[in-house]
Amino acid sequence: MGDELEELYRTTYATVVRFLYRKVWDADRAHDLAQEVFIRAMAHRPEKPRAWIFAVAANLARDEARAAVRRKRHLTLLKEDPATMPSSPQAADELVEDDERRAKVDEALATLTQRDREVLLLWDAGLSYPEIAQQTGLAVGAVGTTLARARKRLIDAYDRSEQGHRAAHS
Amino acid sequence: MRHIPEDELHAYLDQALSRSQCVEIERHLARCTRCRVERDDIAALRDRTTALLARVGPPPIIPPAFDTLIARAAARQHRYWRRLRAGALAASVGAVLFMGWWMSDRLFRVETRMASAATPTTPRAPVASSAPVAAAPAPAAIRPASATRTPKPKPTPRQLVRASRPVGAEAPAAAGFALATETDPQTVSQGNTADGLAFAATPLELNDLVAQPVGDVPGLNGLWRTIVPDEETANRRGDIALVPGLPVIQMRVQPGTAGQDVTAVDQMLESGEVIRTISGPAARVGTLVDEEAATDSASTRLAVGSPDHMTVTFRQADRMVAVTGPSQALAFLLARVNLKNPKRRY
Repeated sequence: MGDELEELYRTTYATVVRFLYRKVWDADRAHDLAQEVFIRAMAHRPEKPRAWIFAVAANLARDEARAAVRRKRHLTLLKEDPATMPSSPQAADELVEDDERRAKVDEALATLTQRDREVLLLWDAGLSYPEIAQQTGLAVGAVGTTLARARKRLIDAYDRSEQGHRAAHS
Repeated sequence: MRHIPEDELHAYLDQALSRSQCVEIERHLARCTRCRVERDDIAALRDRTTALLARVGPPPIIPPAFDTLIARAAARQHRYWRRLRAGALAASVGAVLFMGWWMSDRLFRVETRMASAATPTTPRAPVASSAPVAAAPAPAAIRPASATRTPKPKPTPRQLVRASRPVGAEAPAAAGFALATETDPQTVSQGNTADGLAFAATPLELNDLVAQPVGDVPGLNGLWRTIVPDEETANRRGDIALVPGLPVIQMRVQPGTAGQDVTAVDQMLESGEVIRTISGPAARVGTLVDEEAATDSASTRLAVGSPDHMTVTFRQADRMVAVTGPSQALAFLLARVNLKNPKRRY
């Protein structure tokens, strides 16, 4: 097993999990998928492992999205399960806040086009412009433009939902 | 004065520009208030985005030890080959049925060559007598006389012989094959210990066997490249002829033009003997098979530990598949072929 891959695993695993988490919104699932990616890398021994790993991670997340509807139904059922309820009211508040915050960011991300979202998340995962370009098929010069648009849209969408939220509460 | 485009400022802040580009931008920023404001706005936007995404990050990430991943990868590889073999078993049914149909179809030529006679312990009346066929000469172009192994005449009730039938000739049945097809598997599988045959009591089973490394398998003439059976070759499995369900010892290829590769796959029978399947363009396979037959030295003989081996060739247009192995194992394999598909025999 290549030392190179092991090194990459050490340096990139957390990033891959973060990248996947923002696509699947489930920490355990993100870990599972990240490990799956590295296990596949061991079998494939890709030439450019870093780019390969993010490409496969993106694909896995996409496959995951197809099953999302099914899982959402499952999650709804889980929420009604008293066993999963938090132990204290304070913890419950935090959980709700976390959920709301996450939902808002998720919502804001959803307003982006798929390409904009992909580029933004790849950038946030720590990929360089050339790496993002290679993975998305964009020209390196277009990555900056895409990122500029994606950032603006994300913040706009988030602020809009914040305002809407405040308006609803006042 | 040209102001700095927005995307360039993003790239600048993302440190995605070359040193010379940075110098140029910084020189402009030093004397352009508007662009400085723009830069600050973009920096704020950029920071907010990062902060927003950071807030929805997963809980602290502790990567599992790399070793556990290696173990999982290894376990998966193991499962993969098990599944592959299971798949091969399933495919074998189809392949075997196809072979049965193919061999019995009069459009195709079936040639069975025997190294020597197989002597079943339980004498049974031969269903298809092969005596007249034994005298029939092979077409010289395909099978030179020098390459023919002389069948040892034995006073046995049944003799497996070389049978040859020219394409298009009217023949009700391929005699050599008919003999094999009519053979009772029990009879074949019992083997003949008196002759020192190491054929297992259990007949050739298309099951999930674990490959055991065996000693040096004699090589074929010519330059061969060994293929490591990995996922890639597994995907090409359709191109490589082999006996489904048996563990592969070695896979070799002699590259040719336009996909006309010759492949040789050595597989291990349950008895520990080796069965070899060569496939490719008919002319090249034919030459290889003849070379193998003509080279009579022990070092190049395929059938390890047994002088009794047999080559069966199937030919369709310009492609040929040759299976060489212990005669009894092959006879049993062929018996299975038609036993599985008795209706479509002729």
